[in-house]
Amino acid sequence: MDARTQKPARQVVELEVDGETIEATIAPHRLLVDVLRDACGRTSVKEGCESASCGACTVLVDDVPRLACITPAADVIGSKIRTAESLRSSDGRLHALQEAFIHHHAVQCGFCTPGMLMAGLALLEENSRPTEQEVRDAIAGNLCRCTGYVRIVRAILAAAQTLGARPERRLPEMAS
Amino acid sequence: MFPFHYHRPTAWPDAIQLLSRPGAVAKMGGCDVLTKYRRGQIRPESVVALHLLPAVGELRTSPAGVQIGAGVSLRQLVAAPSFRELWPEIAAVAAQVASPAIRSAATAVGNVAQGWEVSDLVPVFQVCGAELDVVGPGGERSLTVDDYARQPGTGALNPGEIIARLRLPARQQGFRIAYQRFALRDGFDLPLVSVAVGAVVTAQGFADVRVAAVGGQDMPSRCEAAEAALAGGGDAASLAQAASALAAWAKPPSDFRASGEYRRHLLGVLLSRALGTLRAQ
Repeated sequence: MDARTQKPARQVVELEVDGETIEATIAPHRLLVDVLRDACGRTSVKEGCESASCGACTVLVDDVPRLACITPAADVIGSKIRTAESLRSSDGRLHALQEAFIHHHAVQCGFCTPGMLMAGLALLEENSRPTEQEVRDAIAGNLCRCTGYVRIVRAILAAAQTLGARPERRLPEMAS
Repeated sequence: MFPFHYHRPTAWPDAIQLLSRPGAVAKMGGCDVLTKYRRGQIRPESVVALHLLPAVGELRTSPAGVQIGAGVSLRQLVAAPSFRELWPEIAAVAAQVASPAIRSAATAVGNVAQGWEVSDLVPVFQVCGAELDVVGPGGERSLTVDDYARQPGTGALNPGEIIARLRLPARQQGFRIAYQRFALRDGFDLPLVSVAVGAVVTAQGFADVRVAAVGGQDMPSRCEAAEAALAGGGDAASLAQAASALAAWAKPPSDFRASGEYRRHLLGVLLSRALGTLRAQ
């Protein structure tokens, strides 16, 4: 039987997004990026290339960076999903990474920023004292067509310092 | 986007049956299948997720051999101390594939299974003598990664067949691997060409030399001519002969990224570098 004559049944699922349990009715082929944006209101999750090449849709699934554009929403039921909306605290204060991105002018058009923030967050949660090369490796899959990356790398290194990393790793040590 | 039925079987017979149907596509990490789907290159009737099948997430390491379950991600493989200890060269190659977000979904088996003409891991698995265990409607069978990679895509699999795991043999005493790649940028780019060499390295020279290259033929392939040139132990003259043999064997395409002539030259250079690395290790 042709799948398109027999429409796949929609199902009600519960997703844990940024600590909130959200119920959504989805078709089985729906991808996480669309469900996060349309059903969960997480419009920080950007859809750039739509095919795993730009990193704008990077979210954390159980603390690990994943591309929401090629992740079926059904696969992350029961997982802890985090988007850039989770970075701001409930009293409105920005995360050190966000502050650093502002301070170092790491944002121009802003489209890549949420993905960059989540890739940077995943790095800093695993490695609180990254080197410049480790930062560059962590954001290797995130494209930015505005900044030239230097300011983004600088911002993530600065956030690492703010969050309690080694004071001796000063920014002027950067090669670029 | 075109809808598809999404199945997530938890038992092997169910998965085999679902994949035996026309228009069914297997998915593990989804990096290849869902990227093709999103680009409109495939229009599956149904997608069968394999990540809930028993034991697909198992990574078994022992000096007698390694078994990498089909669901083991590159991230897991790179992070496993027991694997890094046994096959540090493979772990280093896997750690360079694509990006962190891709590596957390993409699997080592999937990297082979997708049957791309370009891969970093396939040539390394080829020189290690890695094998794939396949289950399907006709029972179980095994084939080498080298045999699997003779045709593009999943052409080596019959309908309903699933790669359950990849096996690496016991590591011979003195066996070393060197891998050299050339890409237009270091991060998040597939190689234009690459060369993997595996050999038992002794004070007398090389033995049991295996050479595999990406970008020389349509698919990642062993190069018998280069291996034959090194069969005598790898003196200085034979190293140069092997590089020439690899370049002569290669039929690389020309496109906007590089001419075929340039790629052929690179292959010889990369083989020389890889052999130099093997000796220096």
